[in-house]
Amino acid sequence: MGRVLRFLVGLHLPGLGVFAVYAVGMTAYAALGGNLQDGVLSTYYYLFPLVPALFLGIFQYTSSVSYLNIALSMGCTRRAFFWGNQFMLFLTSLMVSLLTAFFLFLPQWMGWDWVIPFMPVQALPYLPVATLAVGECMAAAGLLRRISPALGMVCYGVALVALICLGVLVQVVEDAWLWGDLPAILLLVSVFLGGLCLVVEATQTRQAVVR
Amino acid sequence: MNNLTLKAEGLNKSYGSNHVLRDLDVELLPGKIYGLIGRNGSGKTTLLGCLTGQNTFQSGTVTCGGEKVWENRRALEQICFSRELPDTVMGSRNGQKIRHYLEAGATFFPHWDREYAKALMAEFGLDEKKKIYALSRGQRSMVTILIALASRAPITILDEPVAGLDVVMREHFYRLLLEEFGRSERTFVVSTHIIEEAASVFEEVLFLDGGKIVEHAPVDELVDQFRYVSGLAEEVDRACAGLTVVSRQDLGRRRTATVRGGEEELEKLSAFDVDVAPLNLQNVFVALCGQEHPQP
Repeated sequence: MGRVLRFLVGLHLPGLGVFAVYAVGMTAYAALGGNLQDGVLSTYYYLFPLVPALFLGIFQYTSSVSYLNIALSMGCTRRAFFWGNQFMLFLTSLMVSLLTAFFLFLPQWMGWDWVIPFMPVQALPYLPVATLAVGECMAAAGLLRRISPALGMVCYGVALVALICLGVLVQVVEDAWLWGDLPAILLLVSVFLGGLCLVVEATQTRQAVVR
Repeated sequence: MNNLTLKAEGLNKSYGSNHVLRDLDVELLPGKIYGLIGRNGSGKTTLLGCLTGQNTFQSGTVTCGGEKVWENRRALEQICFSRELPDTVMGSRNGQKIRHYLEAGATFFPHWDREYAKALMAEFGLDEKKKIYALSRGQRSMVTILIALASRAPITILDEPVAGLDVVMREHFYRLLLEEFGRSERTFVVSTHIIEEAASVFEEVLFLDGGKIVEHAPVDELVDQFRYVSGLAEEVDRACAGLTVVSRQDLGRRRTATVRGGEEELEKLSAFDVDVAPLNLQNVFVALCGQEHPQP
């Protein structure tokens, strides 16, 4: 498994680097007085929790198949690749969430009163799970389109539902009780979809052949 | 010392209703160079994929050194199956760089030789920063060869490594292969369509036809079993009595038969008023596997 992690970490680093550059750029723009009316900030900064999840998801969707292909062609076992990829998904979801938290609190630490937080603090604990769910769904979509473009599109749609759940969840947590209300429902839907796609990933990886 | 035997028993592989491999048995002993020859669509790549755990199969067993290959890291570490790199992946251009493949090779193959890989990169004139889709077919073949040789895997399999290479590079590849074989005791399996060129490199050859290995023998021994016999039809028929006639071709009253037999039987041909000529490996393959409607 160590070899798979070495292989995957190297491949994931550029993506995380891009996210870090994006995050720093947007926070700097906000700190320099950008406001909600100028379009740039409202589009990119205030979609903050969604954009990194989308980055992660697109990365998994476009790359899961080619990296699996390369790894298998070099003698990696499917089991090792599956668990290695799961570890990377978990790690990147956690890192994305930690970076999001950092940029959420940064304006407060720096005394930038004019910067409005892009999400309620209460939503932070749910961010890793919801982000991971998006990653799992997109990874499954990437694997499924290998055998059937139609199934891949259906799974892609499921991933978009998970992304919408994430987007709404991080906005409504502040205003609603956790249990029995919308946040709980959205979180459960995310976990369910992520779990379902995890099973799809496991099945597809187990049956994967090098092409 | 390489003492790993790669073996398949009762291998069956189908794609839907297309039964590609049928109860296939093959045993590849260590320290030899094998040639795998078959027609287009005969299942060479499928067979090699099944032998190396890269393709699934419906039934049968595949072992390396007595251990099952499927999902077995210990066995897979000893095998390198290098095949043509795709220039597209899922309909999009393959944007991976040569460097990514080399790093993957260095990560997964425990015997990977970085210095040798670097030397081969220079020898082939390849730039590791170049993306796969930007390479010509010949250059992609060179990367395939590089990965196979630099892996230093005890069992190394190359699927049509010379596809797209010009004649100079093909000769270069055969020289590199023989040099590496002489230096190590690696087992090499090379599948190819360019039979005659590669025949001098192979110790043993396997013919794949109809989903089975129909011939597996040392090259010289196999070729020595065949002769062309030509002359007047009646004389050819008399000469060929007792021999296995693989094919016949008639031109007017003249007949040319391809026959197979033992050394003593073939020597008797000289007693007849016929012309006797040897076959090369390519002729043998065409005679055995090139018949759409086999001669009775």
